[in-house]
Amino acid sequence: MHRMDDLLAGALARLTVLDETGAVVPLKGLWAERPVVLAFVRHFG
Amino acid sequence: MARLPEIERRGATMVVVGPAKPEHIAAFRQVTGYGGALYVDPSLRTFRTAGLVHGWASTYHPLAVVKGVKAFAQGFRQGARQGDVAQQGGTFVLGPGDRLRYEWRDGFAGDNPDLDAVVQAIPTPPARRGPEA
Repeated sequence: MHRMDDLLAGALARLTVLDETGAVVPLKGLWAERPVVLAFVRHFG
Repeated sequence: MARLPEIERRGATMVVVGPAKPEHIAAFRQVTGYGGALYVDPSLRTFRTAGLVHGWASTYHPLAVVKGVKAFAQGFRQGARQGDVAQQGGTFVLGPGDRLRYEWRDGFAGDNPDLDAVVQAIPTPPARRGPEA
């Protein structure tokens, strides 16, 4: 039985972001072994 | 950023994601001095999946305006905008594995989580038994 919030963690893990070179980075690898504080910020500027 | 040493002491990594393009990352590092993991999602899919607020009402929310005026009075000047200005942010503590430990979604520009709560949500690794190797 999955908790709703763990479903969100799983949903985010299936997505990707880009690094400064434009390379695709799967979010999954970022918190597979260690916890993360994931901060979504507003526009950079 | 001030809590970064504490976050790392607890065995977690700080990851920042912005609603901008890869070419904006360098300028963000320069302006903020942030040297940790930093990515972008120009598609905003991660922001939408995380349920983060998007819209002009959140940018011009009365409390956001008050905070903006205060910040301006204290000398904070916003540079040229890079990224989606109507996208609000949020803070999550995740992992290890598919576990959500903490969630905060900004209701409006300038809305921030309780940093103590964020740090407290980081799971501490199980204590080792026996002598250290």
